[in-house]
Amino acid sequence: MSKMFDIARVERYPMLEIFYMRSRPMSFRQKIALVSVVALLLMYGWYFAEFWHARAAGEASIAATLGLAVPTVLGVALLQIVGTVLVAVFSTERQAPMDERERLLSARSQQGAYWVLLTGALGAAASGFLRLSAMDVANVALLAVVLAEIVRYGGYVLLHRAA
Amino acid sequence: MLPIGNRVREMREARALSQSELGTAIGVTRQTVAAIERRHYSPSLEVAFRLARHFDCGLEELFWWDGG
Repeated sequence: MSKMFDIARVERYPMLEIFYMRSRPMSFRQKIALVSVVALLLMYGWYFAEFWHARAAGEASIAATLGLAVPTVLGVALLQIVGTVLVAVFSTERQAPMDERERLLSARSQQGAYWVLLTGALGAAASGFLRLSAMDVANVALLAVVLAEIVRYGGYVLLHRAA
Repeated sequence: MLPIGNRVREMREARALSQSELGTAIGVTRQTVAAIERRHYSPSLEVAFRLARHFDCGLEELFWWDGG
């Protein structure tokens, strides 16, 4: 661990605890949420990058988009299953139901995700007026859903680290 | 840090309980016990009463207003 994350320094500046895993180990649910963030970032990052390239090359057909979407959805599911199994195998903590604090932080992260989803939905509706193709509009809507999910899971992890 | 002070860590340590054991006893996670002790989270009245009952003390012995 670098000197920046020295425990004395962490005690002096509590916000550094967000990055300091040893003094506050993550719960099972936080680890699962982190796995979901990584899975979404990796697979949908790949999906949107590929879609953008295909679109720029004028090759963004429905079949090509489905050819990207199916492995993306399967990839997210596979990464989440593998990640969850690994977390469960290496977790020493008993899995308990959500308590009041976790429900509160979960609600806060969902609130943040709602605004992202709302903005994205309005963006998708507005993109319809820009004479974009139906596939572009659908991808703007998909991007909003993916970003909202990342905010929901990522917010849950960050709020726990900060609170 | 929140304006409600507490003696949870002191009472837990006096009874040689881990955060996890206390959490199980009162129905919250270890992380929530840690957050209460660090004054990063003020528990609901229900959890506060559960803590007081568990430590066999009054609510005001365990929690107090420290916000000025």
